[in-house]
Amino acid sequence: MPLHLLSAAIFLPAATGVLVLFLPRSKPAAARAVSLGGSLLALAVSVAIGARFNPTSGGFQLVEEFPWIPSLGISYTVGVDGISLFLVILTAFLTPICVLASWRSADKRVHEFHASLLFLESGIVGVFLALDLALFYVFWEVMLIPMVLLIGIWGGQRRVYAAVKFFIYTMVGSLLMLLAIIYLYLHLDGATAGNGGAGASFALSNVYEGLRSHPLPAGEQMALFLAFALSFAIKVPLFPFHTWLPDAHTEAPTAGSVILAGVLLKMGTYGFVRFAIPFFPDAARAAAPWITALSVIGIIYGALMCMVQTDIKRLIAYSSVSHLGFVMLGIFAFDGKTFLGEGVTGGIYQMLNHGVSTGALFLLVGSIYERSHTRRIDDYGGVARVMPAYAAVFLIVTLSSIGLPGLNGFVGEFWILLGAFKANRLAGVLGASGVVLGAVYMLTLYQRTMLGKAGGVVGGGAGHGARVDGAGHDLPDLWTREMVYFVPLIVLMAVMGMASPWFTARIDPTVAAWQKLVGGL
Amino acid sequence: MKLTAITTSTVKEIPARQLIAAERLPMKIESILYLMPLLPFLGFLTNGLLGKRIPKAFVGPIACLGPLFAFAIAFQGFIEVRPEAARALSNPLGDWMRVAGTSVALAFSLDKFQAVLALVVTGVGSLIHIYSVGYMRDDAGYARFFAYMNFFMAAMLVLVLADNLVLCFLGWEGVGLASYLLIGFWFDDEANAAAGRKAFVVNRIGDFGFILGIFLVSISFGTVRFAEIAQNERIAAVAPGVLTAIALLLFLGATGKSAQIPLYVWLPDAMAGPTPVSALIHAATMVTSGVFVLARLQPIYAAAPGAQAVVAAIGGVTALVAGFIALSQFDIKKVLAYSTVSQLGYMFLAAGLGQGAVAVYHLVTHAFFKALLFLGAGAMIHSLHHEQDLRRMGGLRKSLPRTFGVFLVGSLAIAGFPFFSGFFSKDAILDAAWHKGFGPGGGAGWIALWAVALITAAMTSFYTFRLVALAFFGKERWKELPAAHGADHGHGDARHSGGPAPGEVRDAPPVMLAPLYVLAFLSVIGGFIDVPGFLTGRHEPHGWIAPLTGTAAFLAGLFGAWRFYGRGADEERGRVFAAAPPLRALHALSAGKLFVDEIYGLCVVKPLQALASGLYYLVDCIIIDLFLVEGLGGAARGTGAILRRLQTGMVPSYATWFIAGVVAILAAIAITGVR
Repeated sequence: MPLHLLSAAIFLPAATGVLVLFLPRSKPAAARAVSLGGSLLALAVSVAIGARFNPTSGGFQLVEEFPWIPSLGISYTVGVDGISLFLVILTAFLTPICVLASWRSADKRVHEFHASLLFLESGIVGVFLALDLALFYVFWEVMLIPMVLLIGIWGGQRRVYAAVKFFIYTMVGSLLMLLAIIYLYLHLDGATAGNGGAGASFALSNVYEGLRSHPLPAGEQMALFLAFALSFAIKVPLFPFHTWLPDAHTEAPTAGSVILAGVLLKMGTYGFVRFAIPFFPDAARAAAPWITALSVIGIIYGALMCMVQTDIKRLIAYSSVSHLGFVMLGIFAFDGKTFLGEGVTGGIYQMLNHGVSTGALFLLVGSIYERSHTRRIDDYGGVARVMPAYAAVFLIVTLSSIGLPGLNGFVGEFWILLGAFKANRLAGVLGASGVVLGAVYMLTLYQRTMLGKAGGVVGGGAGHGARVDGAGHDLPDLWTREMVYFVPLIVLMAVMGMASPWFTARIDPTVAAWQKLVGGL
Repeated sequence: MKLTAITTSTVKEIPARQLIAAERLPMKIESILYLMPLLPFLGFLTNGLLGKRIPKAFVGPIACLGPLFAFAIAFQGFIEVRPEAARALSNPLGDWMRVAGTSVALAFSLDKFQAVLALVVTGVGSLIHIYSVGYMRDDAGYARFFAYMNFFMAAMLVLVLADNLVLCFLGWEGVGLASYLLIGFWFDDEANAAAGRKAFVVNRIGDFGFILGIFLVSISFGTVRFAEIAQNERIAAVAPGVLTAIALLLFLGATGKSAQIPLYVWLPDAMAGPTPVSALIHAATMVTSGVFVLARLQPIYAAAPGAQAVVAAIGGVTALVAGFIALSQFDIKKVLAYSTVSQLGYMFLAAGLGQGAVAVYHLVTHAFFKALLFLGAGAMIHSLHHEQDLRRMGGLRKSLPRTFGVFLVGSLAIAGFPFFSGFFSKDAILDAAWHKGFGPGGGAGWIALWAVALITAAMTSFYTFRLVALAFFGKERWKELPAAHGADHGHGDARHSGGPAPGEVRDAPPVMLAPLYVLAFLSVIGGFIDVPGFLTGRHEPHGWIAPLTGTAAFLAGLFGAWRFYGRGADEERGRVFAAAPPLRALHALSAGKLFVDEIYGLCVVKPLQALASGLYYLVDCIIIDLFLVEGLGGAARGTGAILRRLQTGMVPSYATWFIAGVVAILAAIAITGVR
């Protein structure tokens, strides 16, 4: 008896979202509670998926398949493998945290806020689980709406600008990808029709197969690869398509930033692994040196940008440019024959690490902003004196983010850089330099906000932000509600840092199968 | 490819275990090695998480327990490893990381080098923990201090006991973190926090080389286990150029951790931390990690003579330069800090001479006498209410007789007084340098290094006795000075304002003095422990040249210091020293620390900041956003208008509309394509 776990993981949040919209407006607490319950239930479902996942198999599991628009070969096909498994769990893990983190800070249109958040979760999980190109595209676009709304309605002062910028950037990429998908469909349709086949289908397995038996000419392959790649590169974001990110991250409400950095960016890197590379392996191979170069530039450039930011949130946003550069560097660790397993698995692992670490960083910014209503670095100083638990958590998360061995970030960086170094010595060396710069900007941030003499809002002086509460030294340490999610996040960082084989053992078989699919082994 | 021989998940099939099984010792010390880092780590968790809730009286004992137990295990390990020829005792606990058949084991081992280091780290570490119970008694962050110290011990023992390079790197960065936390322990002072960050970042530059070295090792050797990469057969299979690259990259890591040129600049600033930290981390143990790793990987360096020469040259030059700077510092801890950099250079010189065992010999004796000197200085600083300026000391031998006694022992040991510990280890290095320079394969360069080593020995003696003279002899200047110094003074240990009242300056309590006596004892007899003989299994007799020249250098330094600073020594004498024009320039250079920090600031830090802000405004704000994104501005504004209107609408209706739109477009285009 099939459980339809994957469909449950996709639609449970959206269903909860609809329910929330019908709750009485007068009771925001009910909206919060229902959202929390629904998202926790979705988390339970995703954990169940993990429990049922067969770690030795490299293929798609728990597949569900229903015809949707048969005349077009569009089906509702979902499945999970080692690449998507943890991304789904991560999404389901971060959403209830976001609900908790917004418990007090999201105080306008509470119902719509939570509905957006839950719709967003559905869209993202759908993107990761869809095994039909058309279905994937629908989720890819659907996800955009709640995200834009989260930024544009519940965001900071420049929220509309940020939302529009995000929207335009993403739409430009999406439209090109849509054209590429259609072109691909027509190509396969024509090819199979000529052979008296049953016509083309958007099902992923058919596309993989069709492109092997009916290869595209090199030029067309490259054009289509670029169309997909641009869309994904914007999402990642790969340098120089990154300037939407600082604005979107900075202006989004905490929950939006957490989801944006935590999982939404990974849709781009995921897209490369799932679609762009296996669809067009020859083009991917040819483009690998260029993408590697852009990744390395992104690592260093993003880190340099962090060094000149004056806004905590913007600094962390730019750090994502650097960190996602690492992920791309790993995925495109191509040594002339094959995409190296260390790099690809390391890249996938780093997606998860970044989700946990940067998600936690945005949560931390959210916590302090909720207290002091300023994000300017200069408004802080000596926070560790008044908020010791907060400072300790901040330190651990910082260390995780800069790849201290023993915590999660190191494991991903280690494999990525080993793969990159194997593939291309120079790329490995330049990439590793990003680790030095990472320590520079994160520890500078830590020093200027947490350490030193109590200054700015901490010491009671007036901050530049619009402060609402009175005395500056009135910064209560972490509340229980916040500890409820920071403690599991920290535990996760340690577990992923010391027990990584448990995770990589579930990713590896899929990557091995993926390498066969991509060829060159 | 396998990084380690240990990749199976079932413990039974592990080859390394079978290897040992044949000669398994009844105690099975290798199976409890992991307790050495684990016990201090538990202390860290206890004091770190519950420190504020448990009574203060328990905090210190809890913190001392871990290092003491680790010492007991280390002692047992030292005894058991002894009869073994070269083989390490190793016991894997499982995989730490594994991808695509490549794995890194969580495994601890004990060879002779590790046994020596484990003993020093846990022994000196335990003594300093005990000392700290007294030293830190009145500090508000008492529990936090001990939590960090325990964390350091755990990380340091991982570094020492690691079976492979990657696990060693875990400890390597872990001790860096502990160092960061403890340097910035009094983080209210911006300068302390900055010093901690500087230490971490400069170390990261070294670690950048270290991790690349590890990558190159794993690619070219197919393993990262120490025991395997130090095998000559494996080394012979690797191209010489690659070996040189590996040797230099790992050495870059060592220059960071062990404070050598060009990365030594963090260590003097690290004195911002509490003095026990300076003794434990920034003198006796952590900063010697680089020497330790190089000594363990000596076969690789032997096969890369070019890299070895670089190690020797950097070590020699660092010894000289740091010794030179130490000549004129007035902060007692700065003198000792530069002295440490200099002595570490000495150790690298030995390693570069191909004498890893001798390097470790000096490492051991240095751990004894430098810990003693730092703790002794700490006792003085403590008595004088956190005064660190030598110009405000003087005549302390009368009020602090016991401290004076042990400090003098430490000074004689570091300066190379015959038959004290430093005498033997330093002479072993001088001897090696002499034989290299004047023996086969020598030459002007090596002879110059020998001369550098000798000059450094004289400098060491000079600055040590200068310190002794300024602190313990002459007028009791601290009595005459107003009690106006203190928290505003800018020194790390300046925690209390107000000077000491006369009569208040007396020797430290027994809990602080006892460790000093033990260290003084070790500083005297430590040289008789034949560390090189233990490590290499053979005893090499020394000639008479090294002891003779070494003693001459000791006497030269001693008389020089006495000439300028002895008897009624005070600040004026220092000025006399600097009066003659050629000396004045030299003195200014030394006192200004050769202006290395300023040069780095001008050549590295400032350009990087300028580049960052230049790129930010030019590329992100102007080129991409203004020209490219705003180029699509019309569209942006149009959409913006729509969006603004939609903000007021209902979310679900808009979402439905959008999904419908996408599906419609998709369908429409697709249908036209269906023939």
